[in-house]
Amino acid sequence: MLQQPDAHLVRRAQQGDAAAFTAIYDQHYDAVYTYLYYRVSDTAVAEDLTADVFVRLVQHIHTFTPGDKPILAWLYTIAANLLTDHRRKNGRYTWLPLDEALTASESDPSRLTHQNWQQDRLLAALRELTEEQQLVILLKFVEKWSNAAIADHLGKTEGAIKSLQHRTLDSLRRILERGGMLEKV
Amino acid sequence: MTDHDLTTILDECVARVQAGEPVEACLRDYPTYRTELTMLLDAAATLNTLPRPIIHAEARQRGRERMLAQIPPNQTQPVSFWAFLRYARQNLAHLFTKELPTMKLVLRSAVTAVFLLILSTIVVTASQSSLPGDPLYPVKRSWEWVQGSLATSDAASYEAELLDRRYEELQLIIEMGRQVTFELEGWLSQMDDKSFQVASFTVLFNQDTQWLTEQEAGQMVRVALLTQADGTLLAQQVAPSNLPLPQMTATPQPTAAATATPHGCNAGACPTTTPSVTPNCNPANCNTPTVTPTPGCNAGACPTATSTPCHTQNCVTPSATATVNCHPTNCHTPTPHATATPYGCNAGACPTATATSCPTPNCAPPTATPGCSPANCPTATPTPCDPTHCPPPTATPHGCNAGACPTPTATACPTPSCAPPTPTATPGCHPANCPPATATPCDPTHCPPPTATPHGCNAGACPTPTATPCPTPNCAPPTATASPTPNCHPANCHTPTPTPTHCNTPNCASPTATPEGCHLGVCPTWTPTPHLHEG
Repeated sequence: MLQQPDAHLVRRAQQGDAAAFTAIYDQHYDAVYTYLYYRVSDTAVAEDLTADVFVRLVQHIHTFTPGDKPILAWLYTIAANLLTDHRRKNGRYTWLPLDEALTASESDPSRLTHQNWQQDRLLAALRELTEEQQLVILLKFVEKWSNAAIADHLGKTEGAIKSLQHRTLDSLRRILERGGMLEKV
Repeated sequence: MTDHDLTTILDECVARVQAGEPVEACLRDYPTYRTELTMLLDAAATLNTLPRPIIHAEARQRGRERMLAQIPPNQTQPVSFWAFLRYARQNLAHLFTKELPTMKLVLRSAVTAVFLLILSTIVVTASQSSLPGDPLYPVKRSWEWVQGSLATSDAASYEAELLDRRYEELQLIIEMGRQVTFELEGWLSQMDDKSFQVASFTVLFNQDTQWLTEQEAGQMVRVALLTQADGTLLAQQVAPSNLPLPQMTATPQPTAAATATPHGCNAGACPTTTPSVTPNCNPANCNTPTVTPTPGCNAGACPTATSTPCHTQNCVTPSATATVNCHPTNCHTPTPHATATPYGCNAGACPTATATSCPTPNCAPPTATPGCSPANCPTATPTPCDPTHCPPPTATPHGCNAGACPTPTATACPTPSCAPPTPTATPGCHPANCPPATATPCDPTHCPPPTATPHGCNAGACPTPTATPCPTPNCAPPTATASPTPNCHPANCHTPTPTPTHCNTPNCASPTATPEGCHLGVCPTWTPTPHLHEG
C-alpha cells in the first residue's frame, strides 16, 4: 500500500538531514526498483537507475512541496525520466531472460522453465502497454495500491482509474491472446 | 444499468479476486457480464503470477551510499523562489544596461525568441487540458502530432497512449454533455436492439446508424459516434476495426470539416442521409438546407435527402424542394416536387412547400410561401384529404403552426388538429378572423356547414366556409349565408346565423340560428341547411 512519509520527514530532508534521506530511501527503494526492473528487465541496469533516482532526490529535494503529492509519486516521475534518458542512450529495450532475477516458486526444472517462459511473455506483454497502463498495473496488481491512491498519484479521479484499469485489462487480454498465453473466447 | 457498470463491476471483482475469492463467485454474481468478466479477469489473473524481482542487499547498500554521498555538508538553506527571482532580475537588468551596442540586435532577437518560446510553451501547456470544442484543442492535437513525429519511444505505444487520451476526453465530454463526433475502437459487446457496448461505453444506435459490419457482439469495431447533450452516445457508423470509417472524420472536434452546406440541425441530431455531404451536424452549423427530400425519419430526425439534415425541434430555414415533416415523432415521405421555399419550421413542424400529403397530425401544411407564424394562416385552394392527412394546398399559404395545419380551401379536414379548410383563398386563419363561407351539410359527427357568414372562430379552430364536413370536435362549423352557425367551440361562438337548428349547449352562441345539440364542440344532429336560407 501507499506509504507517505510525513511532511516533517521531507522538510528534514530538505534541510540536509541524512537520516531523513535514509528513511525515505529505505521506505521506497523496493517500489522504485520494482518499477524500473519491470521496465528494463535487467538487474544491473535497474539497480543503477534506482540509485540514480535517489541521487536526484537529494539534488532536487528543495523543489518538492510536501503535501502536493506522495513522494513516491515524485520518485516514479524521476524514474520515468531516467528511464527515458537511458533508452535514448542505449536504444530501445534490453531483452534478457528473467529466470535468475525473479523469485522462482517452482522446484521442478521443467515447470520452472515453463514458468519462466510465461513470465517472460507476460513482461513482454506489459511493455506493449502504455506508460500509464503499465503504471496502473504495477500500482494496482503489484504494489496493491487502492484506486484512491493511484488516482492521487496520477492526478485523476477514481472513476478514471477504474476506466483505465478496464482498458488496460482489455488491452492486456488482447496482447496475451495474440501471444498464445490466453485462449480466445 | 449505467454506462460504466461493467467498469465498476470489474473493479469490484478484481478487488474480490485479489482478496482471495474465486473468480467463479464473482461471475455468479454478475451473470449478465459473465463473458466480458471472464476475459478480463483471466487477464487480471495472469498479473497475479507476475513475480517480484529479487532485491540484492549489496545493491541496496551501494545505492544508499551513493545517495548519502550527494548530500552536501552545507545544504541547509535551499534556494527560495523569491531569491531566485531577485537573482534573475538583477542579472537580466545588468545584461540590458551594459554597453554592448554590437550585441544589442542579437540580444533583442534572442530575447524575442525566448519570449516567443515561452509564449508557445504556455499555449501548448494550456492546451493539454483542452477538450474537443475548445479553442485550444487544435493546438493540443497539433502538438500530439509533433510529438508523434519526434517520438523516441515505440510508435505503437505512443498511439495507444493517444487512444487513452481520447477515451479520457470522451469520458469528460460525456460528463459535460458536450456534443461532438467521436470515434471509438474496441470489442462490441452487450448488444441489444437499441444499444451495444464498446470500450466500456454504452452506445445507442438507430436505423440511421450505418453498419459496415455484422450487428453481432464479439468483434472488434470502430464506431463513429455522436455524443449527445443527455450524456448518451449515438452511433453513426460502425465498421470493422481493420476498415477505416469511410465518411467520418476521426477527429473528435465538434466542427468537423463538412464538404457541403450544413443546415439547420439542432440539439446535436443532424440526420445526414449522405454523411459525406454534411458530416458536421453541430448545432451551430445548421442552416439553409437546399435539397430534395428523402422519406422516413425517426424521432428527432428529419430526413433530408442529399441535403442538409434538419431534424430537431427547431429547424431553421430549410429552403428546399422537399416536404419534410420535422416533428420529432413524425417524418414521412416528403414529396419530391416542391415548388416554393419554406422558411423554416418551428417547434417540431417544418413547413414544407407544395407537398402533396402530410400524413401526420403535426404536419405543417405545405405552402408555396410558408411562414410558420401562428398568426398567419395560408390561403390556398382546397383539396380534399383523408382523415390521416392534411390537405395539400395549392395556393400560397403563409404558415402554420406546430400541430395546426391551416389548409385553405380544403373541403374536409378530418383530423383533430387540423383547422378546417377555408374556401377560395381566404387567408388569415387567425382566431379572430374567420372567413365567410357557404354552407354545407355535415353529419352528426361533424360540425355543421354554415350558410351564413360567421365571424368568429376560436383558437385553433377556424370556421371554414364552403367547407363540407368538418368532422373534428374542435372545428368551428362553417357558416354560409343565413345558416345557423352553432360554432361548437366551447369558448367562443360568434355571429350566429339565422334559422337555428338545435344547439342546447351553453357554448353555442347563435342567438338567431340556435342550433341544438352542440356539446363541447360537437354538433351532433344538424341537418343540412337548404331551408335555413329562407330567413
